[in-house]
Amino acid sequence: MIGGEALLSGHRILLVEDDYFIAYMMTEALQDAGAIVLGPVSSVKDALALLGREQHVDSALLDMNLGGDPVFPVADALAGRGVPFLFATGYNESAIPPAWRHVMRCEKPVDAATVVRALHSCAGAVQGLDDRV
Amino acid sequence: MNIEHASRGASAARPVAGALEEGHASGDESEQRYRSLFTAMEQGFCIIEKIEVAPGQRGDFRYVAVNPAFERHTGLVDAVGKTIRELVPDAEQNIMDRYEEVLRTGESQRFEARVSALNLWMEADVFPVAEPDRIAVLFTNISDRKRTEATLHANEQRQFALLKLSDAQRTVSDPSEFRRAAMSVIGEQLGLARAHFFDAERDADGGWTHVIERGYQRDSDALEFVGRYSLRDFGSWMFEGFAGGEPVAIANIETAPGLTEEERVAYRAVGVVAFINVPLLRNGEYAGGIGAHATAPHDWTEHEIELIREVAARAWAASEHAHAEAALRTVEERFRLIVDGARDYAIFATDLQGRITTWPAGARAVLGWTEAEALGQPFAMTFTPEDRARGVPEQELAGAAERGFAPDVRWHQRKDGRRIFIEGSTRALVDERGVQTGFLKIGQDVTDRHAIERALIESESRFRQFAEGSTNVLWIRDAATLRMEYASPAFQAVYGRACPNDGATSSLRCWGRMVLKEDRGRVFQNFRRIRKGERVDHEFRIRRANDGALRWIRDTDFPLLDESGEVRAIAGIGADVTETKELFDRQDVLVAELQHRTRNLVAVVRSISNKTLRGAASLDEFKSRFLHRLESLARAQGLLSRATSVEKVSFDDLLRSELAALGDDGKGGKVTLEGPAGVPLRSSTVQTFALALHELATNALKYGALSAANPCGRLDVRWRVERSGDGSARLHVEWQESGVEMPRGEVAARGGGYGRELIERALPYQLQAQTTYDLGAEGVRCTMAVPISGVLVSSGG
Repeated sequence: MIGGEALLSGHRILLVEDDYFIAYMMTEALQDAGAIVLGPVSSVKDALALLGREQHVDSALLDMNLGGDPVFPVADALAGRGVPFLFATGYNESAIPPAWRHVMRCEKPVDAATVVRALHSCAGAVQGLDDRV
Repeated sequence: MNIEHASRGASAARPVAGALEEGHASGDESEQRYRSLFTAMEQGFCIIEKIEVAPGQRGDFRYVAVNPAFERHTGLVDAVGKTIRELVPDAEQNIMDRYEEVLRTGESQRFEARVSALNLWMEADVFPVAEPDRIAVLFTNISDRKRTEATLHANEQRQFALLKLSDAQRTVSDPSEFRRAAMSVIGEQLGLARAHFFDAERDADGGWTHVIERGYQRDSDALEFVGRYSLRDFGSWMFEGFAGGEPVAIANIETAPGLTEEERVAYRAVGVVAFINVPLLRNGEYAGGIGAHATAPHDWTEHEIELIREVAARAWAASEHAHAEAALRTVEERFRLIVDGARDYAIFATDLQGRITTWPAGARAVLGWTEAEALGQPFAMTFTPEDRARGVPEQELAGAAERGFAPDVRWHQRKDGRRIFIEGSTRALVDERGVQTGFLKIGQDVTDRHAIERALIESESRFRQFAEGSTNVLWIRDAATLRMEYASPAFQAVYGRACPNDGATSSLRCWGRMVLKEDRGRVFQNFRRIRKGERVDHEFRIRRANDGALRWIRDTDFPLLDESGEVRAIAGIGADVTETKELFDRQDVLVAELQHRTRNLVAVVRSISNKTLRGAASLDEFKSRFLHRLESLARAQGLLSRATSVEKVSFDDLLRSELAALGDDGKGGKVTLEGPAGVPLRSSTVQTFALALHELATNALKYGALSAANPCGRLDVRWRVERSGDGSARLHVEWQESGVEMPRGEVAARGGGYGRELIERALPYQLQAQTTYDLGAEGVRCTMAVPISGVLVSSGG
């Protein structure tokens, strides 16, 4: 991941993904980009518990479907804290509730580099990350 | 006063007078005889004596002797000693004059005279007697004869009058002229000054005005009595009997009691001294009458009144008849005009045999034959040959003859052969005595309308079949009231209640109550749009009436326009789309799920390929391992695709399919499976679980209990379901290999690396499983506790 280190360096990213392999791969990609991965966690319960423990979360990548449960409670919690996040999903827009359609999505299979760039831009928009770079 | 007949001469009276004188002169016997005769005779007899009266006074006589017959005929009792004028103050002067004359001349007289006061007609012989100043009156009561004579005369007069009236009736056709002639008869016959008809009109104040038409006037230079006269000026109280048909007869307006001087002046002004008014009634109501005037006092006798009444009645009847005839002529003329003018109607008459007797323009126009061609022909020629063959014309006539009327609504045939549809009837014609004289046929050519109606009926029937056969609800509502005008039978099935059929159930409100409250406003809003001319496709939910089920209705609705383009009704086609909708919804879910799974799968494949690549020493090794892993994934997908929400993939199925995939039943006898069948796995766990089992099985085949290198190797897989207190369930699986000669650590590490990661890390991560993995001296021992749906499925095995 050339130049990736610079992109998300020191960035604390919550990863919520129920598939072990995808979570594993994504974790590696994010770490390669210099990020500190919070998780990964595979359920809403674990994600909320993790958020309760972690004061400092810069952004999040959320799989929309966690073993049949929607990830929206986690999204609510993040939105409540003003943390920007991305959805990673295999679903089309039509399957997403209207309330969440404005959230940026990465469609599976997710290319790790795309996610890194997307997370960088959405976190930057909120935190002025680009200025530091 | 009336002296009808008088004869001068004493011949008849002489013997009586002489006999009386002789009686006085000769003795008692004779006296007695005459007295007896005097008493017994039928004639009245009296001797009267002239008395002295003051100068200027009218002369008078005193009764000296009277016989019983005198008293009987005159009704004067104890007359002897009294004077004529005492007893009969109105004694006729002419009689008194006669008496004076006989006394003065000494010559007897014979005359007929009427004594009005005594209602007596007498034929009198008056002759002098011996004593001075005395005369004798011998009289016969001829009142009966006179009455008979008067009646005869009146009858003659009446007959004569009526004869003249009949003459006039024959020769004069104009009603008013005839009436004038009738008035002349009255006037001339009765010697009156005027006779006229009058119409009676009600005044605004309820009194009567007589409108007098020109009638009979004897003296052409006298004052004419024509025009309007209010009875108020002439003593209207006198005429109150008119309404009951009572005539008013006044002999002399100067002496008639009750008239004011003003009223008398009114009569004088029009030259009336005596008059008679005979009222005439029309339909029992006073409508007019006949008036006759005399310019001198006139005693109206019963006969005169009767004559006037009779002439009046006849003249009235004749003039009324003339009026009626004139009216009838007008009606007949009008009817003829209608029959001739009605070109759309064939109106014609036939005789009893059905031969055409009249053929007016309408019949010519509708049926095509000319009058010359049609007259005398059988009316059956207007029927079609088929109907003629079936005897329809005859049946029609028979029906009309029997019931007076027979409908005729059928195809007919014109002269040119063209068929026309006639709507009409045949009626029996009867004369005034009720005898049937023929038939009248009236028919209208409605061919065009008939064709349109038939097309309409056909189209309506087609539509009805369509509507009634459809499982959709076809409906029509009035645009103004929004009441249901029509709903096809499917309404019952879709809405679970009978089709709206009365004021209450056909209202939009009634229907709207079935629509869910959340959708109702939108639906009604849509109805308003349709009413404005828009088409609307909409879906809404209803609560079905009979079972309360929530159903989705899809309606395609549109306005129905009238000829002027206004929205007359709104209509629609509605269907219950609940199942379709559910199907679509499910399909949406399935498609979304498919996408999700596919994309996940690709992600998993990518990750597996990464892992495999990292762990492979060579491309061949990569290829072999990767393919096997893909196959395992494929098997799991196969199982998942067969699974449903109810029939989930069971653990034993998954296990057996992985073991079976090892191929080569060489493991026969080496494997023991022990556990309940049909333990359902969560779909989300199947894929990872399958991969884990695949890795375990593959390693067992390569290096472990199932390897050919370990002939004594055994594999025991045992599983059970454990339920915890909170109702959740876990599947406990124990994978135990034995009799394995453990290879060197390097190989074990390589072979077990991926499987171990799956079991120790992926399963706990993804399935919240609790796992152990040991490489013991006898072989691999692995336990997995995986949460399951908690429902034991008994099927499978």
